[in-house]
Amino acid sequence: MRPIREELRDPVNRADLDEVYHRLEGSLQAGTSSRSWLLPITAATAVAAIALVVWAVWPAPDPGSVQIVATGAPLEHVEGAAEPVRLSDGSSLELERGTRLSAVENGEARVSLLMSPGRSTFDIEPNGPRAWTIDAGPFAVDVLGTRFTVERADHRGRVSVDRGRVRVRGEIVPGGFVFLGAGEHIELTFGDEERAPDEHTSPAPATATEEPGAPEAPSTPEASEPRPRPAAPEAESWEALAARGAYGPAYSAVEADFDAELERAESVEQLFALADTARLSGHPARARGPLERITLEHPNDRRAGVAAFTLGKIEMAIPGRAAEAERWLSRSLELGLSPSLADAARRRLTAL
Amino acid sequence: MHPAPRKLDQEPLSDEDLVGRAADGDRWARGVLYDRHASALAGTVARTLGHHDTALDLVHDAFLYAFEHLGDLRDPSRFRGWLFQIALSRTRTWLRRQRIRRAIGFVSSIEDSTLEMLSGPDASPEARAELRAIDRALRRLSVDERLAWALRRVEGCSMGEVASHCGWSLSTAKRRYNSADRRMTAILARGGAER
Repeated sequence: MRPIREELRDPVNRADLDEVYHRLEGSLQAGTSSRSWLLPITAATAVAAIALVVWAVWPAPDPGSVQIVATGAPLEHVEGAAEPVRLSDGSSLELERGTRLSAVENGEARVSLLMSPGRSTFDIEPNGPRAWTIDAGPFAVDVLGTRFTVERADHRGRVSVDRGRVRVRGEIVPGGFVFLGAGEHIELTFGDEERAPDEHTSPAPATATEEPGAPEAPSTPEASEPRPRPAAPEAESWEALAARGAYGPAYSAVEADFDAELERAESVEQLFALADTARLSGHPARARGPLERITLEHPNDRRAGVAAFTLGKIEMAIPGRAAEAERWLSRSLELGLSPSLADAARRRLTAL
Repeated sequence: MHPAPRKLDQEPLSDEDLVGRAADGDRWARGVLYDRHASALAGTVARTLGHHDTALDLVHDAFLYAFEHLGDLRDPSRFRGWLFQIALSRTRTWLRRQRIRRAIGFVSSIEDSTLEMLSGPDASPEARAELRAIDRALRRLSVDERLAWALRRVEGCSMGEVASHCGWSLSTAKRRYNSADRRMTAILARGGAER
C-alpha cells in the first residue's frame, strides 16, 4: 500500500528549514529552551529584525576569535607582506607576496583558513585551544601546535613541517590523508587529469619524504609504518568496495567501465557512488560526469546542491577554472544547501 | 615515508558519531544532524497537524530539546527515532490542546497544510475530494488514533516505527492503528461528513 504522502507535495521547503535552523542555533547559543510557538509570529519577526540591525551596525568581535596584533581586528583576510603577521594567541603567519588567506571560521575552538596559490609559513602556538585547518583547495592541512609551510602552485602543492605534526588530507592525497612529523614533507600534483588521461593508471601522484638533515620524526603508526592497501577480493563489485570505503580498489574495478556505468546509473545514490569512487580515489575530474548529471537530472533532490558544491570544489582545485568554480558554487546555492555548507560556498565564492 | 591507506574523512559520519561530536558542542555536527533529519521530521509533523507554521515551531522545539539533552540518549545510533519521539510527543500535546480549544469555540489557527491542500496541482477532483474526506475523518479520531493512522497510512511507517515514534509498545500501536482504521473505514463509508 503506497503511503498517501507520495501523492502530496512537500509541506515544507528549504527556506523554511533554513529559517528554523537559524532560530535553533540562536536558541542554543542563548542557552535557553524556546517556546516560540507561544509567541505571535509578528513579535518574533520584529525581534529578529531588531537583532539583525543591531548585529549589522554594531558588530562586536567574537571574544573567542584570534586577532591580528597590529590592528586588533579579527583574523579575516591577510595578504602577503614583508613582515610576519602576529596573532593574539602567539601564532604568526608569513605569506609570500601575492598569497592570500581568508578565514572561513575563526572561533574559540577552531580556525579554518582558505589559502590562495602561493606560499605561507604557519607558526602555530603549541597547546593552544584551537584546531587549525589550512584549506589549500586540492588538499588541506590539519594542525595543532607546529611550524610548517604550505606551497600551492598551478599543478603542485607541497607541505613541509619544521616542528610538531600535521595531517594533510584531500582527494589527491593517496589514501585520503597522511600524517607528517618534524622534518617531513609531502609533494602533491593535481589538476592535470584533463591533459594527461593516462594518469588514471599511473602511480600515486604524491610523495612524502624526509628532509635531509632534519630531526628525526616521531615514530607513530600513522607517520612511519606504511600499511599495505588491502587487496580487493576479485568477486567484489565496485559498488560493494565503494560502500565499505575502499575507493581505490573500487575505482580500479570500475575504471574500464566507468563511462558505461555512468550511462547505466539513474538514481542519485548510484551517481553519487560513482562520483565518490572517482573523487575519493584521487580522480576528481572523472567525478564531474556523475555530479553534473545529478544537478541536471535531479535538480529537486536535496542532494543536488551538494553535487554542485562538490563540482565547485573540484574546479577550484584546477588552475584556470575559477569561472567554472564560481558557476558551480553559485548553482549550489540556488539548488539549496545546508546552512553550514551554504556558508562554506559563500566563503569560497568570496575567496575566488 | 608512504601515506597510510586508511581514510578518516571520506565516509559519511554515522548519527552515532555525529551525536558524540554534537554532545561535545560541535556546531558542524549539529548542522549535519539537522540537515539529515529535519526535512523528514518537518514533513511528518506538518502533514499530521495540518499546520505549517506550528509544525516548524514544533520541529524547532524538538531539535532544541534533543540537542540540549544529547547526554540522555543512551544509544546514540537511535537519534532519529528519539527525535521523532520528542517531536510527536509535542505534536500529540498540541493536538489535544487544539481539540480543547475547538471544543470551547476558541480555535486559534486555521489549518493550512491539510492533505487536500498538499495535493499536487495535477490532482483530479476525485482525488481532492478523497483527501478532503480523509482530513475530515482524521479530525474525528482520538488524538492517539489519529497519530497511529497518519503515521501508518500517510507516512508509510511500519508498525514498529509507529510504536517507536509514539513511545508505545508494539501491541499498543497495533491496537490503536486497528481501532483507527476501523473508524476511518466506517466514517469514509458514510461519506466522511463532519459531525
